[in-house]
Amino acid sequence: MKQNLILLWKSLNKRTLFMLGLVLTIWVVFNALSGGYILRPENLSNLFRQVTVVAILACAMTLVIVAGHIDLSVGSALGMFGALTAAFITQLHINPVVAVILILALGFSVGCLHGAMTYYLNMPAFVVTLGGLIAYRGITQYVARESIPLRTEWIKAIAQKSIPDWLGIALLAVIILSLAYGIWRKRSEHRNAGLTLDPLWIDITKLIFTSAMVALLAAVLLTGDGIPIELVMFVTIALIFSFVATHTRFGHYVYAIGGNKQAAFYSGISIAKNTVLTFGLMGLLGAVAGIVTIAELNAAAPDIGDLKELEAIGACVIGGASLSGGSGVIGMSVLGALIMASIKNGMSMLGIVAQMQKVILGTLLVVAVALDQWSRRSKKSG
Amino acid sequence: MALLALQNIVKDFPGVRALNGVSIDVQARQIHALVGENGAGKSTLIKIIGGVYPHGSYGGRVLIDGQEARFHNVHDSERVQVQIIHQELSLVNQMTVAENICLGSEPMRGGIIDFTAMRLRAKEALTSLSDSISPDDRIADLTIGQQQIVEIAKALSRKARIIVFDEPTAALPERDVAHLLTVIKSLRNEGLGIIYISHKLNEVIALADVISVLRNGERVSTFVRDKVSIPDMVRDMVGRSLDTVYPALKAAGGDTVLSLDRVSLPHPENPGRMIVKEISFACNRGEIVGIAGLLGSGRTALLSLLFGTFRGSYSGSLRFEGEPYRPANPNDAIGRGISLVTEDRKRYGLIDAGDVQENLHISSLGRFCSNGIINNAKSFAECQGYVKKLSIKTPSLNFPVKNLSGGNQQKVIVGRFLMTNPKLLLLDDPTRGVDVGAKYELYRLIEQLAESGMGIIFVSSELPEVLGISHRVIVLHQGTIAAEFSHGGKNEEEVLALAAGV
Repeated sequence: MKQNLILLWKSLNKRTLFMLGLVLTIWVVFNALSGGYILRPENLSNLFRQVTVVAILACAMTLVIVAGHIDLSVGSALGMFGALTAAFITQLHINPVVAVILILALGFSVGCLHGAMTYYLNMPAFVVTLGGLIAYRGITQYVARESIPLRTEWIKAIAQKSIPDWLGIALLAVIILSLAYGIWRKRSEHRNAGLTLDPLWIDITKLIFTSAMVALLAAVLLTGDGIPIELVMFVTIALIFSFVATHTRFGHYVYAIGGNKQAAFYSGISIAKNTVLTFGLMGLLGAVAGIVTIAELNAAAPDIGDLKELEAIGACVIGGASLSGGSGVIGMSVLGALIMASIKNGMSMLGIVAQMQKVILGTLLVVAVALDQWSRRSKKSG
Repeated sequence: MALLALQNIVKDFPGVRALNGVSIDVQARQIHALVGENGAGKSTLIKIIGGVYPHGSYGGRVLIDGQEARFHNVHDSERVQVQIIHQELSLVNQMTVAENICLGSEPMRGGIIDFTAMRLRAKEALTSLSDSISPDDRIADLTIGQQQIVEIAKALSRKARIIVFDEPTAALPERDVAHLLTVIKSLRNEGLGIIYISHKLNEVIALADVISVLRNGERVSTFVRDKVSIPDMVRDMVGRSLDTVYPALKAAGGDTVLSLDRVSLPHPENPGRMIVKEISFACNRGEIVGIAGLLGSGRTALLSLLFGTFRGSYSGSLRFEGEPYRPANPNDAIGRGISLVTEDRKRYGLIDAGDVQENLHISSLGRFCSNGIINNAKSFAECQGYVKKLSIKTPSLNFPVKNLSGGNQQKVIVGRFLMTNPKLLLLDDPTRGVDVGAKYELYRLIEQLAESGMGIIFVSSELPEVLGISHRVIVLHQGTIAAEFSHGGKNEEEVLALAAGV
């Protein structure tokens, strides 16, 4: 029995376990401190809505950081995209669907512009996106100088509504079945190629455990207001981006470029194309985040998105991405965002003022990364 | 018909002609070695072969199997199965062996990467090369020798027919060198054409079928194996005969500058293990003490102890000029009069973004300051003096140091520490990556310094130079002194045996 437990332990990803444990600990602790508010379905539902924007940004920001760059313009860009969407729909009376498509295209293009300037002009992305941060905030403050209301129901619904219960259960089933299918496929491929495998019971145990956690979460949410659309949204985006990062050539090349640009270049990888695309995706998700933001607020205000880039970067860093490039996992960045959001949520429940929350969050970020550095150093010298 | 032929290659850079009509060819089943000083044109040639300098940026022709090839980029050269294994390994540390071997040409299935096929391909590529490397190992966890094997596997999996090795053994420990050379020979036997570039002339002689010497952008001579000796090569590389590779030693002997008495150094993270066990020796003024030993013998730890960079406590006594000496950091050491010139110029030596003057005077600024402000004129004069004394080839003191050749960079580092007027100079592999002409100048300089009364401790992996330049040699084996003898007391084979613990 002990042998088996050791095997199981060895096969687990320690970091994932740690981050999940951290989230649960935060929930439980704040729950106790707040007299049981945190774990209420309504609050959890709120929490997942609160984390959506940063989680979405973190998905693309992870890739930017992995590529060895940074994007400081994201918050201002998000604001600009949100303001423009509201302006298009409310002031210019453009069809909302068309407006959304236009803004998404604009987001992608602006992102590609950042990437192109970084690569072709050989400038640090820091500088290019810093310019963006300033300029786009100006545009946002001009376009939304008087708050622009948003009246499109379906867009507002994204932020405020939940998916129908039956859909939630169906999605849950799809997730569990996909996990099972993934395991089955991996095992048969490995067997056919004669490569080594973890014992079947380990894979099954992991599957059962993961499914149980997801099902439990869904169940809790269903007893409240249901599963928020925003939750489904950022989870879908995270899954897609994770897949792209690990299974597509593009994702692979981003890691290669960040890990050793010269090696990537000599291996025939196009640094130009992949850099531009990485930033393009960041711009695209920035536009998505902008639309989600105005959906949450029912309006576009001049300061929307303020400092969101820092939260996104913080999420990635807590999730273990290295600012020197080459490593970072999207799922971990999303967990990082969840950790930050959970702490904020908890502090609000305890009545801690916003200003104090900022102090605490800033401190925690530094502590988290310092701990991470320390654990990496002791791992290396061993 | 030659696999690869270069005809009359001419390449200019602003202000200098790097290649002046070089013609070279490589046949199948042949190892063709290229030797030459830094700046002779070897790397330029490789970059043309590899497509880094595209067709049109050079004169002359490149022929593959007799047909002219026009490479516009690196892909083009790879398409005709030319692979270059660079000096700085082109591997992504965070990725696995399989991912690196297939980098840029990943097997796909249904639009996404097929990791299973990737691992299989990697396994195949590794079969004849190594059985200790698995496709799932992370590059960061492998030794340099293993990483090099992965690079070769990568080149092979791209069906290379021509492989260029650029200084492959520069960073390899001895036992991996032997393995690598065996691998290269078997590649040759399988029909590949191999270009091998190295400063290590004894390796070149043992390995190559044909050797070409480059000097100042021209091919000066080509030798066939067994019909060439090292002095022949050196003479052609340098353009003059070096009668003695090592300068004549003047007699030494003066007061004891440094003495170690039963010094032991425990491993910083593993206190049970001793890196150095009860070592005692002394170095006198005007004396060159050479320390020979293999990787792991404790020689680098010893130097770091003397320079104050050793992390951890130690036992035994250290005396400098008769007084107790316990340096806590390089500042202490330099203050007492001990300087260390390290092997790893890039990491511990050069300030990349700086110019020659900055890199020279940085450790001696105290002397040029009054009230905390640097007197540039004073520093300038002294720096000029050292540039002249060391024959550092640089257009000016403000020339960016990263544009100097390796040998001149090393001289700048030596200059920096000489400027601190040390009484004891520690040298750790000072001629690594330095070409023959510059090496000789360094040896002469070291000899002159000893003559002027400086004590010198010389650590090197190249046995010939340790034996040739030292008054006295200490051989270390796993932390203890295996032998101590005066110049000429033992030959290379004997020392190697002692260092290996045989």
